[in-house]
Amino acid sequence: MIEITNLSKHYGDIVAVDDVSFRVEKGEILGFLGPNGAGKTTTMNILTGYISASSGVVTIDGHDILEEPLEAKRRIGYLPEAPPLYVDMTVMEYLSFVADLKGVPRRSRAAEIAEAMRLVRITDVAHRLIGNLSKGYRQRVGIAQALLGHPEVLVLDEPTVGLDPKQIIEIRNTIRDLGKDHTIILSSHILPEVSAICDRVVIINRGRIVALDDVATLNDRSRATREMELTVEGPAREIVQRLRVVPGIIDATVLREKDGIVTLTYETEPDTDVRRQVFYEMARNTWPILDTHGLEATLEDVFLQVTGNVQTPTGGREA
Amino acid sequence: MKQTQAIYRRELNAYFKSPIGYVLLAIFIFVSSLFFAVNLLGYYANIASELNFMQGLFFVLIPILTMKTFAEERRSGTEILLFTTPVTTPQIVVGKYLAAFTLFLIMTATTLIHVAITVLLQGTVDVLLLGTYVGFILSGAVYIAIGVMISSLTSNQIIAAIVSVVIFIGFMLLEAIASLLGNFTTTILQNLDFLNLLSAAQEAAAGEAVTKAVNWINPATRLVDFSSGIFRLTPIVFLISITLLFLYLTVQVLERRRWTQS
Repeated sequence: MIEITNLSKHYGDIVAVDDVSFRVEKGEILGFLGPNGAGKTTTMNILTGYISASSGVVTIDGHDILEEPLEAKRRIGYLPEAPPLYVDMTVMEYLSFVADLKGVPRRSRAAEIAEAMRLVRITDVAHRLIGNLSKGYRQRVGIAQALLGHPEVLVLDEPTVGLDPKQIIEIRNTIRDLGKDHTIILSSHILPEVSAICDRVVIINRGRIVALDDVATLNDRSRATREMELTVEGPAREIVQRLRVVPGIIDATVLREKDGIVTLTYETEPDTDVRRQVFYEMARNTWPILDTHGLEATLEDVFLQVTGNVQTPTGGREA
Repeated sequence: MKQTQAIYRRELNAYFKSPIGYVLLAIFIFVSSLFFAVNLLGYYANIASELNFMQGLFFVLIPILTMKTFAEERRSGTEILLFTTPVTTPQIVVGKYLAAFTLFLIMTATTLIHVAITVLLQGTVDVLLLGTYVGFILSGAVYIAIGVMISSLTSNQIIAAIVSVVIFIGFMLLEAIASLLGNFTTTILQNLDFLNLLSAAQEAAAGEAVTKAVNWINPATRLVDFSSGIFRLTPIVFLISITLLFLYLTVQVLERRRWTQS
């Protein structure tokens, strides 16, 4: 559905996007993940035809965004980082205007606008000035705008940024619903969001793709090493020393110590369960274990690994 | 077509959702009516001179009219909507231009009241006045196109307005400067020509040619014929061409900015 080939964008000497290639299949929700300034917005601006690439090709459903811009743009609904709203219009006026821009036939216009407003739950503010709406509502008007004209592809740049938790959940549910009959690219720097909504994830850093995988695979990869948290009553230094000699444990560090109760984490080698050994070791020294549990690795860990902020990346890098 | 229409309607509405549309109309009606009324008190009604006077105010009125066309869209980030929906850049430019031009026509139309009063008082309304109207509207069309182009160069409407004002004042001064430039050319030639290769007449002719050339490109000098009731094809074609040229340049500016690599 969307095919991006060797896309690069330079601003003078600065490389904003560096040789990025990926495809998004029909009906897929692709997460586009990266720290601020990684090149997410630039990539999205290029693939929606707002700005040009320095080199590379973007095709939407077989239509090159440069060669056939109108055909390609007809297939895209874009919610930019800052929703492009005219504050002097009411929601209704604005959506009618956008429908006209997208060439929605007059007959189906009212129905289509009503449908979009229902999907993002803004029907109650239809006749209010956009300038008077809260951030959450504005964001949703922005999504409604993207939905008009029934585009097959939705490009959403940080759709949940600046919303309160309740709104974030609502928007996520909306996006998941939309994913049933749209192809969606969604950018975010919030990892749980991406793992909650997306099928696949592209991780980008400094303009380069550093990982491209299923959400599940990425999660697995991060489990290669395991981290456990342990709370024990006893002397911190000695506990750490004891733990470090248990076979299978790579390292142990104290998180906090209070009233003789120590909380620490230890890292084990891949696929090794050392909980029993740890239990006997602590019991032998009469240091009662108060709590122990595994720390579930998150996409956050993966992200840190692949963006090179951790010394020992386990998986191979995919570019 | 439908897209152009949509942009046109939004733009025109936007003038009246902000104070700009009302302020422009108010200034225009107030000043033109004052001029008319003062004349009327002296038992004298001359719409043509009123229009000429109002044309002298173009250098403030037109920048106010055009300053936000593109600058504001760029500042608020709404241009991204226009550029990522299936609309072509010429459609956007034409839609916005026509909206500004329409508001200008509405402003111009308010002076028809003065024409009506003149007719009622049995004053003269003749082909000279018609010519003045044509000249007035055509030069307005040129100024608006230039103003729109300048607005597309910046994201700050105040800067757009100031640059437009400066350029329009430049046009007004151009007539005065033209003969100065001509004389200057003659003087330089005389000083350079120490070998006496050129006759004095040739040097003077060169100066005159410069004056003529400067006047030729100045839209303001093209209007003289109209107000004397002469409708020549050349100035009409000239003014429309300048308008189209600046609309074309606006399209180029907008495209270039999005395609540029810096």
